[in-house]
Amino acid sequence: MIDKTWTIGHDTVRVDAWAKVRGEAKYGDDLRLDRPLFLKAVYAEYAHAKLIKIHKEDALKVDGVVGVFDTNDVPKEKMIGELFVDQYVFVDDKTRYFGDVICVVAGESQAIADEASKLIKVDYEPLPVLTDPRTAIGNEQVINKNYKDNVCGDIHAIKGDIEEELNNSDIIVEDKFETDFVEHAYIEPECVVVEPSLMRDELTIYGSLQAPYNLRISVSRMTGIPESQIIIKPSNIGGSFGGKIETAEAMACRAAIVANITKRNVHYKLTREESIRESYKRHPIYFDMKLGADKDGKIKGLKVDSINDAGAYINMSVGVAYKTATLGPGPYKMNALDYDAKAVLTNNSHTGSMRGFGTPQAIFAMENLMDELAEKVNVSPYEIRKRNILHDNDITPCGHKLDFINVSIGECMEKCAKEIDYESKYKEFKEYNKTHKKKKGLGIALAMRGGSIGADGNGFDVSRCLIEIEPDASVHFNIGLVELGQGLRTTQAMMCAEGLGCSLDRVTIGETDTSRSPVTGACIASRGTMLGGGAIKDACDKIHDIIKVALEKVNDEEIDNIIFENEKVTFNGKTISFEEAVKKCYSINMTPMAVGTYQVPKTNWVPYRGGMTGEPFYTYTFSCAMAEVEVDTDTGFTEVIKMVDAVDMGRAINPIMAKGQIYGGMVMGQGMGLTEDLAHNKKDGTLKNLNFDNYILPTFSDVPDENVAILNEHPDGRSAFGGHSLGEPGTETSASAIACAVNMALGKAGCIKTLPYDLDKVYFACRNLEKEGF
Amino acid sequence: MKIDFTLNNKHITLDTEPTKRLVDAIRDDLSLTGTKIGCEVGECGACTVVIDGEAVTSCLVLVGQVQGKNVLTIEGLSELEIGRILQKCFVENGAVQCGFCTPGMLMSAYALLNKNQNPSKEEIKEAMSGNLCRCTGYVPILNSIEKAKDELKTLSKK
Ligand code: FES
Ligand code: FES
Repeated sequence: MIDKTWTIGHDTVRVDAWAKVRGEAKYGDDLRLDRPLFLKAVYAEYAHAKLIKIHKEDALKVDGVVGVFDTNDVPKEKMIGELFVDQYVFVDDKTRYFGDVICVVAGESQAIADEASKLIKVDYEPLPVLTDPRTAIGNEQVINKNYKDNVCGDIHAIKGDIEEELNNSDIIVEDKFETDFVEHAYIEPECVVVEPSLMRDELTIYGSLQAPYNLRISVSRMTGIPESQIIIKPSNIGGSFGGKIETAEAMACRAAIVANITKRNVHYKLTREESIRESYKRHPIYFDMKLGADKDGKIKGLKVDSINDAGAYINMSVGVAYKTATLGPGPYKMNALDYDAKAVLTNNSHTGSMRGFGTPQAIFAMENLMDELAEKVNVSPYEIRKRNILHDNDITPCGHKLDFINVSIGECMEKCAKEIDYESKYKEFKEYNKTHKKKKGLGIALAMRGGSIGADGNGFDVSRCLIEIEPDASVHFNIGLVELGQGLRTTQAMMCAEGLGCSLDRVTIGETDTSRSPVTGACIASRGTMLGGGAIKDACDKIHDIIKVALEKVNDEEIDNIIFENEKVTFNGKTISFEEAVKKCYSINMTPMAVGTYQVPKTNWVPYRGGMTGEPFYTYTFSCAMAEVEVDTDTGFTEVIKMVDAVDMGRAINPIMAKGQIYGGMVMGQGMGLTEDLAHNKKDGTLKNLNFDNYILPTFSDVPDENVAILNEHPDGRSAFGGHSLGEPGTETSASAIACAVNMALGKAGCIKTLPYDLDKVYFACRNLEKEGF
Repeated sequence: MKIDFTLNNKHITLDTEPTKRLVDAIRDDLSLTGTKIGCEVGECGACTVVIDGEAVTSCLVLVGQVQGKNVLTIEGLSELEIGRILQKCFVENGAVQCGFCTPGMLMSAYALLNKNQNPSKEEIKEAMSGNLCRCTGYVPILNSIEKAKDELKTLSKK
């Protein structure tokens, strides 16, 4: 058990819970600004085509249409992008995927804009469409002229001598795996609202905006308005999971351009079909794997070539490749690693950050391979992992010595095994499956997640916040990390109270507002707790220094040591209340207010044998998921009986919300594992399943009520309040655990090689197995 | 056309197109934005309201169809005992994350507990299966409804 403080470690009601259960919390589409213009986009009819001409005349004649806006209305830069600036907000010379926006119609009502948009005709000259990244490499069709071979990123993680290790292995396991597009499927479709100031060239932007400071840069670049006069105030956000960054940003840029030209408020929302059409997805990734082990199944080396489908724009694809290559090998010991991860442009939907960011796919491939290894060694999947997992002071596959953290992966595994009763069920199911048509399976998936962005972001992985103690000792706290539903603002408020040494009741956390909160990196990469915590700690330390100096002056004494804890301030053998200390500070007009800054220290990630090696991240989260399934071999239907997920998030600041991340993550993985399929058309690059009638999310009835979330806490000395990444660990393992469980039920490790394991795929796998006498 | 109905326990007359979707009448004409829109095809349940005791997806109902009926939205839930208990249990048991599904979830849960004060786990899951949630993994919502059920039981025993 980890000790609780007066704030941290207690189940705490989220700051926005009551507004949400009363229906009072406002999301983007709930805003009602004065007489807004409504926008409707016209989408590309071809995934790859030259844009010849837009015929706007008929639309412009419609009563109530105020204008039709396209790339020619963008006054400055025409492209956006967080890391690579390559995404056009309006199609410029050519369309690159079927979610590209040609133009937007602005009307006095949504109905007017919708109707008029249908009257726009566009002339195209179709170009060949690339839909498979494997054949896009080196193709004569080039999507972005800066990347002649269509390869926009290549990350190569290396340790040791892979050829030597493979040559010296007793056992070689080789296989190929693939995953498909996955939709974020936040229940709130994107909506942005822009309000121009009539006092000066200033725009205030509301809505479903996960990355306000990045958006501010883009709008500034497009309009020429300085960043200080672009004010971003994200509304309540109805889920994001990494998904409300570039798409929402492109929308906000379009709306900002219209607002800036018309000086009218603009309301711009997507329907679900538009949202799925336009928004970026989880990357499909293709894996070609080779693993060498000794006769006991101890891994000697792993070689992987992987290709992710970046789609039409680079977006986060290179960062995703980074996480695939560095975290894909899992929490296993090995002498050598050679993991190549390429990102390749195609004319498919672009792909970007989605909870897990390149690891759920890699874990799926790796864990299946581990099961195949177990089969060859003739031990259980549990045993093979036990023989290979990392322990304290071991060196990771990339070459990072883990001498600074509890390597708790073994513990996570044990806790899950106990909860799901692995050992006895494993034997029981093996017997049971011999005589039953409905077959049972257990699956395990392990993960080791790097905290925050990693060495890929060396130097710019920063966060900031502003804390101000008012004269009545209430606290106002602003931070630009956005609440996406995960409970971040409550966690941040708790850390603020903890850091200041006051009660949580004193702390008010303001809504994110770029004019109030100092610039900070986005709420991505599961970095909120660690990065926000670091900035909070820094601000609190500075405020403590201010109060210390004030007390020295007021009391006319020197203070060496001062402790702020649970509403008490102790120094020189005296204890005064927090409130009194603040009052003394104000009594001589000193201001207990500070901006806190935290930067993740640089890590040692260095060139080696044509790739990179060393310390890809500053710290890690270990997790294990186990799943129990039952497969009806007649129909191909898989029922999930139970899932267990143990995550070592360092410290669970607010345990009830920490568990919430795990419960939610498991189910998101269940969808990826079993049902979610966008029906990607390999001929024309379109997606067919654009709404929830065909894109099947897990419902209440599909989810086991026996699911268990285990908090396996070991406070991390590298994080200010001991907590590190949780949001992504909660989701990265469950699809794989389910997949491995299905394969066990089918009696063959690594049996189905592509996600999702939907009805058809499992059905046909069963028919094929029948031929082999199953 | 004038449409007369009861909304959150108050009788109202709304002058609007009878073919307008109920969800639009509620959100736009009546400015009650607690009812959400997630899919517009009856699949997500974010727009759930209660009409004459039944949970209904208001994106599939025309406002003309509620003439003379009793409509309850999230904004009216706090005035009802079952509603208040459900809200409290949702808040205390981690049933709320992004909160976008929450109004619809609460309306479905209300309709269930209003009809059946002692539903089994299976009955709860069945009644709630038209409401999608991408954040919570459903387990905390299920637990919250079970807690609300228990609180209702102790209340009725008193
Ligand atoms: S909006 Fe009505 S069910 Fe989704
Ligand atoms: S809480 Fe976000 S969709 Fe349910």
